[in-house]
Amino acid sequence: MQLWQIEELLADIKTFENPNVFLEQYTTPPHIAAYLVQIAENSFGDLKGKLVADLGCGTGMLCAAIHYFGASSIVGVDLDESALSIAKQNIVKCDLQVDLVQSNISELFFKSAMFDTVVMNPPFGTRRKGIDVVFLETAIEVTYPEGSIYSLHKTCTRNYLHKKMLQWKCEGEVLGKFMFNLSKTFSFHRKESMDIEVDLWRIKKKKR
Amino acid sequence: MRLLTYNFLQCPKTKTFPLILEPTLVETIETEYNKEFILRMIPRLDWNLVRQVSRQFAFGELPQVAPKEGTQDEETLRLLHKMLLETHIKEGVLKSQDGTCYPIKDGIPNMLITQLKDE
Repeated sequence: MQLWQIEELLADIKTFENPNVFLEQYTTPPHIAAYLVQIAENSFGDLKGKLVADLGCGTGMLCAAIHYFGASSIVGVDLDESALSIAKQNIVKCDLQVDLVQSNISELFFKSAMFDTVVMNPPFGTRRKGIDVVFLETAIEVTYPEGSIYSLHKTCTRNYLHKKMLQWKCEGEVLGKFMFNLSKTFSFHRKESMDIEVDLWRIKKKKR
Repeated sequence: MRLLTYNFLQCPKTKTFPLILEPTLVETIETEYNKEFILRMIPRLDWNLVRQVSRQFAFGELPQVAPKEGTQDEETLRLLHKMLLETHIKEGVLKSQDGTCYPIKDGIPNMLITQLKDE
């Protein structure tokens, strides 16, 4: 599938009605979601036929992108009921192979080492310091030893995350950098829109 | 929620597995059979639980030992596909050994143990 084709499909995905500030509910822009799944499948073969989890799935933008790249089974997890109810509508409307679970990512509700691939766009940790790291720790816990994790993080945390990778006995690689344009979603945003630099990470557990 | 996902869930509070599944509304939705995927999932499943679920949902008796790569037992693999990927729990409850209940509504299990609060 071509990038433009997937972007077109993702244009149908309904996004947040009233984004929650505390949860940092930003929808992954379709072009970034499309790029992410495209590189995960076409460069690394990490989606087709795989069992994939999306932690902090929101309204299901990444779940949809993962589905269009041939994942066999997808589980989207989010804390927020209103986001999940929109995700549910998207799943029904677009006929996606996605299960939804309402849970707190910091409370481990999956058994360890179950998923082939985790794909996520976690909160950046602006409102709740360290939440980005909590998401990564959970992702590492639930990923199969041979599995891969794809995750988006603010570029300014890159050095810090590289150090964390050593602690976690993981290998992390930044596959690309994006400008994440946040339009004025919340009242605390003073400007009409702002750009933040975001890294796409691919993380593997080191062989023991 | 499909039964495959149920097989991955543990109690977030006590970290115990498995949770007891008490469904009140179940739906079957057909999906494409992928033998390779089923074979890859089997080693990650608790085979005793799978056998128990098979009885609970009237899929019949599964072999005592889980099929492995290279198996000729197509019938069991097809049955696992039907059970794990085509059986959806729409309504019901998941119960932990300590009595905690996690409701399933509109196909979505609610695994929250603490309520969200603004800081």
